[in-house]
Amino acid sequence: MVLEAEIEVRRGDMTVVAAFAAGDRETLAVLGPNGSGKTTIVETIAGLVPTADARILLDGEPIHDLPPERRPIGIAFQDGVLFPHLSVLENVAFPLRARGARPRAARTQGLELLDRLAPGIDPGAKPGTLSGGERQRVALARALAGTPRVLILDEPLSAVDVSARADLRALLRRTLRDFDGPRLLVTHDPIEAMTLADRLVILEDGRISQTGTPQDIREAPRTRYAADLVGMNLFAGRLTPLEAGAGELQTADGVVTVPWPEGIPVGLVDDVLATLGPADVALHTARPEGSARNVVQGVVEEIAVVGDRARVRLASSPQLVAEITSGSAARMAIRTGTVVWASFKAVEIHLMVERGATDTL
Amino acid sequence: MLAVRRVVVLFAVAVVSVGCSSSSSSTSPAAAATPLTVFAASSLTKAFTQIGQDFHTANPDVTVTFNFGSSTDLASQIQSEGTADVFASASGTAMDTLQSAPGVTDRTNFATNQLVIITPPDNPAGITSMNDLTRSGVKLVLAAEGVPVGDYARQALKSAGILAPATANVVSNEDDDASVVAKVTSGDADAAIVYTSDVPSAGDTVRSVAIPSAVNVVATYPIKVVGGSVYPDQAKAFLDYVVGPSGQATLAAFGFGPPSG
Amino acid sequence: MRARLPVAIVALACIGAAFVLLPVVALFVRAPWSRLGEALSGVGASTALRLSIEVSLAATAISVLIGVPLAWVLARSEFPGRNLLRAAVVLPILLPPVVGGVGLLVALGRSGLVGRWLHDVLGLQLTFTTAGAVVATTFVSMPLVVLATEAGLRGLDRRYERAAAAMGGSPWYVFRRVTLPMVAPQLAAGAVLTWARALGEFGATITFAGNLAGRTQTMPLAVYEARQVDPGGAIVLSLILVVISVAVLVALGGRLAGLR
Repeated sequence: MVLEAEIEVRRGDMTVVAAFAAGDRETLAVLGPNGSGKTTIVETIAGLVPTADARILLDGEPIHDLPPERRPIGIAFQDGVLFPHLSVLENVAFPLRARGARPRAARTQGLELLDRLAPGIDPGAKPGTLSGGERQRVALARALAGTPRVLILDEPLSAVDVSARADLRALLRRTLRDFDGPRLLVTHDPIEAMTLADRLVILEDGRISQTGTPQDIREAPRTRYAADLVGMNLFAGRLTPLEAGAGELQTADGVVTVPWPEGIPVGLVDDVLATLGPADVALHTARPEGSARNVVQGVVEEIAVVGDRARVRLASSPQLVAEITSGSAARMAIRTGTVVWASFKAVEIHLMVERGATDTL
Repeated sequence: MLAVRRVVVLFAVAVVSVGCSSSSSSTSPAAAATPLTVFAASSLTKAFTQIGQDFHTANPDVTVTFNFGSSTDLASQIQSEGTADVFASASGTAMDTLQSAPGVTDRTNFATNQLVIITPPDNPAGITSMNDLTRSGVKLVLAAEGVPVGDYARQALKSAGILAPATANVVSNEDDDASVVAKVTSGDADAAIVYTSDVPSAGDTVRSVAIPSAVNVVATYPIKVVGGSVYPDQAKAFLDYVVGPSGQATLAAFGFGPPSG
Repeated sequence: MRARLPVAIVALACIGAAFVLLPVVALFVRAPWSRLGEALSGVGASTALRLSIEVSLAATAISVLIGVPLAWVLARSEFPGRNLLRAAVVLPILLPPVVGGVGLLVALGRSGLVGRWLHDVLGLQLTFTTAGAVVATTFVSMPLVVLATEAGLRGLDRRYERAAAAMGGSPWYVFRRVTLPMVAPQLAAGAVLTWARALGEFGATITFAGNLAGRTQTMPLAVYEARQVDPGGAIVLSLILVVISVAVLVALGGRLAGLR
């Protein structure tokens, strides 16, 4: 199943023009700053913008002429938008009942979804009593309730506490992975995009500025915004204990020493993500001494000088992006192909670990 | 909090003192433009409005203001408020209630009126005689009991021996004769019983059917100066005018009969 | 710790309270308690009361049934003349009820614009009937529920209705399961006001439907007639009306205040 969209909408003083496609079992992220037109795209695909000029095809069949309630799309809105006067279960069962399902069948299906995605939440509770993270889980269940052919997540983590985000992100990853069909993820958070998406579409001021895999964009950002996006170093992998208070994050292309995260029992932990700012990576011409736990050697693949800053991409294990002053780059005579040493402290690494199921949300 | 309590107490005292003090206050009559208040039965509306204008032309220093309504209603207003100078009633009974309080002076009969049946111009129910009012399905409108013309109508129906069947046909008890006429001119009533004086002013909007004089009621209209009026002289002058040749002519023109003395 | 209210506000509030309470207190004081039973039966109190309740409830039901869709149209759709329509809806509140009655008469009376057709073709005459009393009462009280519901609809966050549509809800389903429940408090408050107005309706009823005990003489009409015949009875009838109205309004209490 493939979702193709060609959209042109005028909203306020901005016109959004976008054309993209999400393939079967592919998560496409639409990433852009606030006000870039992301929500407009979601609403247009949902059929909620009557003034839009849109061609939307699902497996070649046009759905842009259908009213919103007939489009086979499941959406989890930013902040949930759960119906305040209905209980959690009634909210989840809404798409089923709206399409004519019998109350008992809808109830059973709803409970099953809740059990899978939001265990521990009382199905009879009203949305007003839930936390942001809980609301998102229910919204996700509701989005999936109508067995849609396309799943759209609109800024799923933005209304959630930072502390609850890791868990929710893990849930989203699982859910997206298990969803049979194209998925659209709309967000302004690059971490969300990079960690959940297979492909990215970058939206700026209503226009698409770049598309590609996270890797493509990381290698060749075409705009300032894109460059800032990928400025982050991202590590993903399995965390193993190293010594008291420290662990090793084993990623696909290397090993990183990290501080052991608080509150996590010592042992093997999968699905851990970590970020590192490029400015926290120091470059040396010779192997450095010092307290930094992580020291790697690598070959400079690319240097991008932007004003007085120089962004250096290394082919190393793991891959790194470092940001130093252009003055330093010049002094060290760093050029493509130069061999350098990079170091960074374990404490500079920001870990994101799923705290595991249930009630600690 | 103390300030609030103080205000509330002051306020309560004010209310009580106002309630206890006498309500009437006398004002000395003004030298120019005397305002005269005349309460009159609603059947007198058109006739008395004319008379009022004529009286003002003859006596420019007196302005007459009318309050028209059902005589019973007006009588009770006079009893409780006492703000009328002259009272012209459609029935002696209404006036009798005021005999003791606030009292009556110069009571005179100034006109008579009789009853007539009226129907819409197209006469949808085909009413041609009084007995037709007893036919089933006829929509008859009367004034309510207690209103002079309502009582008179029922009196006439009783004299004719058809009170019960006619009453069964009554679809509305109106508050005064003007409202009764209105129900006929709008075409919603089949028939109604009103004063003969109501007919000339209604013109082509109604058709009339006579009531035999044997059962018809002669309503005598008394007029009087209300006891306690602050303008007794001007009130008496108005009363005299009504009873005088000019007033009588106007009344006759509007369908009233002469007083029977 | 109580808030300190300015003295002037308290004074004005006292005046306001006295203003509305005084007539009620006076009714209680002047009622002919000694001959209550006789007064009650004499003025046909039970018949008038039954009729008042029937007519006011029927008028409220009809007002809600056609008023809510009207409110939806006023709040949600754009069409030329919408402001004119709203003005027409509000008009019965501003006009003296008798004027409303006269209007109904020339429209729906036996020789009226539409009433003529009703009579000649369908054999229906609304004047002098209980149905006519319901029509007159509905005419003057419907605006209240329309306005309250329209205000409620305007205040709704449209995101919920959009989400409901995206979840597969047809426009009717969305209205039934999302819009209506969310606007229910305002609708209910409007319906209560409508009922209260309907209960007290006089001018349009007496002008259009007439005054006949058991058929069109609701409590207000009975009071009016009783004034002439039996002032004590009029007071008793008035008191009954007051007591019932107060009882219902107190029972609904806070809900009426929740006209948010």
